[in-house]
Amino acid sequence: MKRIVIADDSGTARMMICRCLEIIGLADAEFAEAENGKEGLKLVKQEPADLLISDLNMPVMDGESLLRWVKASPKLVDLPVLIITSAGNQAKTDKLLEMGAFGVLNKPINPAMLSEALAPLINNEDG
Amino acid sequence: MNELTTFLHQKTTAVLEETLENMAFVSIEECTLEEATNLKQPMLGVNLLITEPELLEIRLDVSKELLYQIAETMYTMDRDELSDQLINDLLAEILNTLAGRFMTVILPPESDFSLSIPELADDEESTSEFKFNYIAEDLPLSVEIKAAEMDNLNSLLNN
Repeated sequence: MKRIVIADDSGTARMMICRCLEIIGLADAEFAEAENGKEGLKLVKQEPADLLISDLNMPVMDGESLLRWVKASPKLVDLPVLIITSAGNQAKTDKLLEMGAFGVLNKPINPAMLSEALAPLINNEDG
Repeated sequence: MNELTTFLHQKTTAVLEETLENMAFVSIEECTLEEATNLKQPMLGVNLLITEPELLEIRLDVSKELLYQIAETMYTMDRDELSDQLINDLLAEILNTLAGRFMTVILPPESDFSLSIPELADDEESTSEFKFNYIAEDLPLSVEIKAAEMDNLNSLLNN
């Protein structure tokens, strides 16, 4: 995985996600950080990304809108989007998966959760 | 403690433990308001609104010293490198995670809920019935649940 875009309005959350990604063996990837969905969308449009990780509850553009934009774009539709949120429940998770999210994780996250969620992508690359 | 207070206290303690252990490898102990006050620590507070399914407010107050200790560990930075903005962001993210977990554990799985963006508290801490005090690393922190109407809190208990 070469480029991972992380959209979260919290610098602490972005740092935690980067730290977890490094721990699970993705330290060599380039991490591009965005403070909201609009910035995140700009980053994935500017340069190809292998993964977009997004919070749900963000100012300017929230994670659900970001996911909708990505899945509506022919160029970005195949980009895996992992949602990491503090406001998740089963109903919301089902809705996001239906919208095309690759996965949905609830905060607080840890490396094991992230590793399990990303295993299909990482294993696919290895193979 | 009445049934509602006990319920909220148990749930708050469980999610605060989980949040701080996951985020910062910090464990907490329950304490009384008097024990927390006696530590005489400058505190930093943050508020967050739960706008659905009931209008509630959750406030988190954490000793500044504890926040700096957590930030030093999490960011692997020296204290003089830590900005006020980073400390405020850390406090907000702890509350954001805590509030989400709190709603997840008290509501049925199919229930939706919405959280506002956390905002720094500019008023004094209160001493309401639903304020729960803790100690971590010998430093105080507290979580307070507020509702405009008692019915809002009672309806959560009935879920």
